[in-house]
Amino acid sequence: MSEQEQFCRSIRVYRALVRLYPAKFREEFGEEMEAAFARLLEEQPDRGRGFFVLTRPWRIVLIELVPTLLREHVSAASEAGETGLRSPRLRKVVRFALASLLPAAGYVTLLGWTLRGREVFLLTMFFLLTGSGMMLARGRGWACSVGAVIGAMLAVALFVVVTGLTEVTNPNIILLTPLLAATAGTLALILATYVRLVMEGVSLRAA
Amino acid sequence: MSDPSPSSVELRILLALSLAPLHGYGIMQEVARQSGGEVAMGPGTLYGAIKRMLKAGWIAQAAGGSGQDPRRTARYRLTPAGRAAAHQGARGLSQIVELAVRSGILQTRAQR
Repeated sequence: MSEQEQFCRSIRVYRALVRLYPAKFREEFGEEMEAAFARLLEEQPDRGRGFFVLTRPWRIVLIELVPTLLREHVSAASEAGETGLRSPRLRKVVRFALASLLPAAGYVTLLGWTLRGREVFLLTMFFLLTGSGMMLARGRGWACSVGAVIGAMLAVALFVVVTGLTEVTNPNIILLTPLLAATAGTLALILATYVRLVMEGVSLRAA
Repeated sequence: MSDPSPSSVELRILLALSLAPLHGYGIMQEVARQSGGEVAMGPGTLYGAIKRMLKAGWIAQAAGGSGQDPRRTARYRLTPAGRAAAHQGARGLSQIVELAVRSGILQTRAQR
């Protein structure tokens, strides 16, 4: 393989790696990253030693690849949470789903770690934590309710997976899933309505 | 300015740009030169930092950066906010160095 062919092949492989970055980042900087990599290849001291020799530019790229990919994807995900969802309503739903999922996940963890027969305590914790999550998210409007139900469904899914992997239950946890989902959804809806009443107050239409 | 204190990678880039506007590869070269070849920055690290610093307003694209360049690479320049951030970052580091010298962990050139 000639030196030029090695160069072109390296660029093609790097171009494929750049495609792993989030689309927006790639659109903004992909071409420049490729150009910078090409310059690195052109000016490397061990140029011409073959594609499979791990040359200095490739060592740098491979060392930084995973951390930078993770960083950019996390950054893109958080930006999507802020601005990427075009519908403001959908943004609210996602925000409340996250707001209610996090404390609900805490509840599931507690449930797994504490003794049986303390359901009342755990249920209170669930209400307190989920409620405070939604309060912190400044729950308003229907999105608060939808988000809370989605959060509760995700928490149930998490609970089923955690319990399914760690315990043998009778009846089987999978059979109980619809009941759990319905209960959690209803509780979340009641809680969300309560939070909305607290946050928005009760408004009566003038006669 | 969203973050008043730059990371070590960002500080190195700010210092590299304090001399003149540079394109991406130029920044990588300057960082390597300033660190005596100890710091090698790849394109992923560099452009991730550039993205954050553009957002923070520490750097900006230099005018006429890619006009004649067939690779269409932009040049970046330091902004006044970037200079202030570099100052703050460098001052923080110098305080740590002073502390290390006072506690005997680091020796100054005069002490060696």
